[in-house]
Amino acid sequence: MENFDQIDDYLRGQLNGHEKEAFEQQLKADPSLKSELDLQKQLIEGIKNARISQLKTMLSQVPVTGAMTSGAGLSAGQIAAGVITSAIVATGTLFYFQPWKASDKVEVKTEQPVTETATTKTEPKVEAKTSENTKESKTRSAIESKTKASKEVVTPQVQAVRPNLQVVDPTSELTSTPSTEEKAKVDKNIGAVSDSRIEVENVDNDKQYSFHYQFSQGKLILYGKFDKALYEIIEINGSSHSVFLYYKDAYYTLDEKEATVTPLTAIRDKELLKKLKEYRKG
Amino acid sequence: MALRVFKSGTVVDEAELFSRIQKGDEKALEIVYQKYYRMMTKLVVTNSGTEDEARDVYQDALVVFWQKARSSNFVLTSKMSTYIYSICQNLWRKELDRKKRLSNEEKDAAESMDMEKPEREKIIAQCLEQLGETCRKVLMYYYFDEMSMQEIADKLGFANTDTAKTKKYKCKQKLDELVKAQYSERDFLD
Repeated sequence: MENFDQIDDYLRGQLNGHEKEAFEQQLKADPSLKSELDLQKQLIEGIKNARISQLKTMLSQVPVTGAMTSGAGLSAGQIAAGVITSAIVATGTLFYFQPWKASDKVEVKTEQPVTETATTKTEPKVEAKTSENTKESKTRSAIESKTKASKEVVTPQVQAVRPNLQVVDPTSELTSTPSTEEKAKVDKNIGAVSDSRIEVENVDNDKQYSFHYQFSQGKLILYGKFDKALYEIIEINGSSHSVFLYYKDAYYTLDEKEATVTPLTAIRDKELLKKLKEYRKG
Repeated sequence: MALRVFKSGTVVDEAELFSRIQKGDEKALEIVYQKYYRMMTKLVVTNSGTEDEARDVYQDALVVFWQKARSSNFVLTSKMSTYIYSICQNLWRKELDRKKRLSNEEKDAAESMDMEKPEREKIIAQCLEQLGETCRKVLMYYYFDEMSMQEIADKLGFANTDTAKTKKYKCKQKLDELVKAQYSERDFLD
């Protein structure tokens, strides 16, 4: 199988000038070697495509809360209207000394509020599935173009690119602090870059469940109209992990193992409530 | 009781993330994906693209970046986000050009050149599936990520580079056999 290695080295650009020349001479003289080379090219291409597909599938599974699911096709006016009637989701993560557990350290992590439009008409569950299916089929069908892309876009030249695109300074978004007004406009999607570990989805059109929750595939689904007031998810990491919901001056325990739709019941334990209030205010 | 408060908006060290990506740390790629998702997809969405297209372009851009970062002679001369953004720009511009060509009905000429290509790609993908996970990983890491035998051995827990080499050789040979058998059934071999 000497040819096997030689072809491999040739295709990976590992032959030196002299070896390469000799091999190309051989190729001209030997049609069977040429057809073997073509086959090996196809195999390597196939392996690369499989890896591209694998990486993309991996990225598709990364939660990007508050992605532009409903806003993409909306006009600026519609988005503004949506933001006005939106529910504000504030996600907070607290590392703390749990009153009911023995530990000393308390760590509180808060995140910027995430807003979502309450005007979303699509049933979230269906939307998620459709999006996944589309993604998978797209990944498969796009194998060829992806490989081309990975070869062609070797050195991006920002200066040379003159597409019909609005050039936006990508770094400014991360470094500058938007004014309150600007923030209101962009907050709809801010969860996309959130570090929150819990992805929240709001189902507001389910007649059966008006104030319920469930965890599904690591995602928290809140049923009910949560656009009336600010709500927050409080994630607590101590010696164990606990999640709470704060909504309209009340706190609710969210059991991450709860896969069935469960009614939200306000916490009455005074000591726990006191601690939660303390930590929420930071 | 010690209480520490921090905002999620705190700057994640780009240099560290890049260094981890260079070493083939997929988790770091996931962090980058999450971190710049909105910024990158906005580019496409605000330039006549759908969210699906935006996500697709961004993922493609990150795959290109991943492969670039892995090559030994690659030097990142700008901010990582700027670099990825420029890849997104290029990819989306190409996609817009492709769409424009399609709408001008120039597609058939180029696409009907090789009718057997999709079929061959499908066969190779199926044969790769048959290989088993370790074999697939060895081949993908070698041919796409261009990992050294040492890196492959470390990543997959092989005893040494010789084991990695042998594995790679055998896996490739197996793939070769599987594909050839399928090709000959369909008369794809010359």
